[in-house]
Amino acid sequence: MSAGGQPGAQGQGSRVLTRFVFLALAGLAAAVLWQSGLFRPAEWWNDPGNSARLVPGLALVALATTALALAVFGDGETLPPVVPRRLAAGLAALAGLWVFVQAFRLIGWAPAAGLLLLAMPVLLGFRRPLPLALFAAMLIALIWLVFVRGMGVQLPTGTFWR
Amino acid sequence: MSDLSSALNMLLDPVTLLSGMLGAMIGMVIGVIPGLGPAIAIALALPLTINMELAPSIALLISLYCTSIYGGCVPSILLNVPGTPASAATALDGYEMARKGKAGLALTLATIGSAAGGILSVLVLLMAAPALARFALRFGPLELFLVGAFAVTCVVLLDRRLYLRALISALIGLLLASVGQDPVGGGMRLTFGYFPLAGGLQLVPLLIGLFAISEVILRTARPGRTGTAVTHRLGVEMPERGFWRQGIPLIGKSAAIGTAMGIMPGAGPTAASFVSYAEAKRTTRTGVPMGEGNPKGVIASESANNAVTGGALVPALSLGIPGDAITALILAGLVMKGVVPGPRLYLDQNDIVLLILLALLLANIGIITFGLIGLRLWTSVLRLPEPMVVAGVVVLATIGTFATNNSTMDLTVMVLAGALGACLRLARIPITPLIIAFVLAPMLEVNLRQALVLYGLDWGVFLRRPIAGGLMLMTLAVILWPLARRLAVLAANRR
Repeated sequence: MSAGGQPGAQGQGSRVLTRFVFLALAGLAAAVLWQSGLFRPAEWWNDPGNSARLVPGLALVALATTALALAVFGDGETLPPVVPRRLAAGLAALAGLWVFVQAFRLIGWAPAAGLLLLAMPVLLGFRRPLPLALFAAMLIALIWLVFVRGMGVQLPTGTFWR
Repeated sequence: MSDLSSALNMLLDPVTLLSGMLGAMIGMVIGVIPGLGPAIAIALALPLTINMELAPSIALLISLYCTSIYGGCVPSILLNVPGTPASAATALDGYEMARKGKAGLALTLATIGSAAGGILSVLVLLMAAPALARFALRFGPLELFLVGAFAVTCVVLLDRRLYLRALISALIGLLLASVGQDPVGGGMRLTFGYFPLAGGLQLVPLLIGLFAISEVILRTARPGRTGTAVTHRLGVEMPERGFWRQGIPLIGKSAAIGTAMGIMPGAGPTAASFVSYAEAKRTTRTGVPMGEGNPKGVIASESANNAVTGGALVPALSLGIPGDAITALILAGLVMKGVVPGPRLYLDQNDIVLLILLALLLANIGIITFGLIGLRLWTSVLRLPEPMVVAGVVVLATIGTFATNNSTMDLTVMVLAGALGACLRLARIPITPLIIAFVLAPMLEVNLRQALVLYGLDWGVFLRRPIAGGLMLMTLAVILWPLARRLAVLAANRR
């Protein structure tokens, strides 16, 4: 979303946010460079071919520099304005995915997939139980047929049931 | 001639034809399922070939190879979830076309482009394979590094307005690829003492996270924005006749890019499709902007990624050097059957070389046949309500990611890559340069360091090695040409 398309105060806020994000990225790259011990200019110069730190080190330097340049000079593009409700929904989705991945390992793939296939559409506003149950059952059966039966993939059966 | 008739006899055997047909259908299904792809398809098929004759084994492996790369375009177009990494570039315009109600057209063009690209690459190979192989043999580490650097440069400069953001994306890709063991010395980098990172980050979870999971996060955050706008039954839809005036040369150019990049070790179909897409974007000045549903984007990506199949077999068959993991698996299958790839193969078993080429042709005919017949099958995916599709994508992406390496660590990477992808997309940082840099990073680093050991910081090497000099000039031209044109326009305006 370009700054030009936003009302004055909102556009200004987006510009500040954009600069802040790129400044934070530059800081993060610098911190990783410092913490990882990859910043060894003398080694890069004296024996570049044998330096395992050359490529990631230079990439981090370039990343910090480019992000700093964007923070300072900008490029005419800004981030969309922050909408707290959307931000919360996005974070909730991320948390939900994390829980699903943990459930996948702990209670097994089929119960975890069943729960997700039933719960997620309901949370997203689809509230017709019969099509939902049919869809969940069919997809789980298809996955079992293709992955477990057909391809012999050992999907997690859950550590709780052992 | 007798070699050709011998190869034809082997290919037209009913068991070989059946094996090729089954391979084509299974490959397509595996390609359509996000997270799976040619490597998994061929790895799972290898044990099956142990008890098979040579010709059916070759037909099975080659069909799986071609059609599983093609199959990836279907979820790319219908769901914005690349079935295979090679079809990630197809999603850029294919998914936008689907959202505008042109899913049938996008799938038809992807099918035609894939088959045409594959067939053209086979024809090129049939006529020019020995010469192409000899040329690629002259590439040293410096040239290989420059080829990779050229590819990354093209992708970073895809959108001149946002090139700094694209550069950030490519640098993140390089860094993510650097996690784990150093490809030359084996030392640990960027693991911060966390042992599960020692093996590095895998491409499949990263790709599924960046594309599928980030899409799920953003769709959840923006309720009401539907990703699949098409509700009518899908069928074969041909473009207007005038389209082919530009479409046919584009297929030719993309097939040439794909074949050439297939020959280069390490580049592979993912890089080929993005480079071809970048080239199509660079030369497209009329019609729908690229990235917003331009059919040329679909054609460019699909023609190139399938043309790689032929190109990748050039160094694999003539030199015994696999260009990527997939051709390495095919070579393993050939060796299991007593076929030893290398320069002697063309002299001692030329009929086998011809059989492989004919099997490639057959597989591409299979793409047209099963691809177009199967178009209606994909309609049901679009008829599902979006919340169900989103939930289904999460489950399929998770199962596909897990199935690749049987690793729960990959699932963590997938979720984190999803969060990264959502952040990048919100910050208008393109994801494509990240993926291409990630794919090419090992090849770039190994060859750069070998070149530095061989030549040090001696710039005269570009004069002594004309291919390296030429590649360097090409890269500089890509960077400087638009700048020079802009300066020329400014100068003309002043006058």
